[in-house]
Amino acid sequence: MKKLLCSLLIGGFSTMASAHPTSFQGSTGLMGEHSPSLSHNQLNHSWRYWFATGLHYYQRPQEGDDSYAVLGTTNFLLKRWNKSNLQANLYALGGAGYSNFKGVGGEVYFAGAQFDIEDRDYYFLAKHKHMFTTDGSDYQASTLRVGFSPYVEGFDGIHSWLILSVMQTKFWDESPTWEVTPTLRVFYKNLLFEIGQSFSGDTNFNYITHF
Amino acid sequence: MRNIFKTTIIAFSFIFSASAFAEIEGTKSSKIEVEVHGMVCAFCATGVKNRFSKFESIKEVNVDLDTMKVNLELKADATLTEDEIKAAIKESGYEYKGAKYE
Repeated sequence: MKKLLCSLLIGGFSTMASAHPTSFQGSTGLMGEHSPSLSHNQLNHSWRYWFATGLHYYQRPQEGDDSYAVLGTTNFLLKRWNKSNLQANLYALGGAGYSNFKGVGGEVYFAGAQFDIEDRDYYFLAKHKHMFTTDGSDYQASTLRVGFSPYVEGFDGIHSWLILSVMQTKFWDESPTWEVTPTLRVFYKNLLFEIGQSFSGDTNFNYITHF
Repeated sequence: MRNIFKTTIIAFSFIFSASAFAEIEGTKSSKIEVEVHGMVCAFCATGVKNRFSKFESIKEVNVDLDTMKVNLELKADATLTEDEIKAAIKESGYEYKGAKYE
């Protein structure tokens, strides 16, 4: 297990918000991650706490309405560590769909992995995802996030986290871009919002809700 | 005399263990405090709360994130077994560590 975690940590990471790809049995989650370069909305349903299926819609706002991808995914919780004051998770994600990122429609396949660990004060996430396309418009994103909670609240309170997100994205033959984004996360019960402003001036907005 | 004493001790042990078993089954309790490992955030706790809210026998569910405990209040004459509690925690994705029946 140590080797696996190390390879995840060394191998590169990705993506934006910190959603758990699976949630409690029978729940449905709606999540969105929005930046000037990419908009991503997803709807997941957890059939078991360790297995969910999802529908994803990606769009590149700067490229217009025609630059999009639609995917269906399956999300697996491979391992969860439940401790008295801590939780850690290892997820695998896979899927397939249709991509029109380059204006020429084609099949797209998706693979991803996520590791996260949190207690009530600190939070860490590492994620990588890769879209493989038949027309050469591959997309990959890696994210590392570390955060802390300036105060600890009870179940009914408003929770806040200060998060630093480091993300690398690469759209097919374009040069990889790096973004470092301080982010404020606020959540109340099953509603979570995040807003961040990257050092390059981009504003990111994310949301998650489970019902 | 010794035999009578032995029999009395055994009888008392049996009665005591039988009443303890009834408490573990929760049939006589109106309030149950459940310890859960891994329930570190309000999102996690919402899952646990929703799962317990589906039980007809439960009147109220309260989550205490500070102590990682779920407090259940049963309806009058309702029952909830330890196995049902364990299954609910497991289906929510967390680890059951014990229950105290009041």
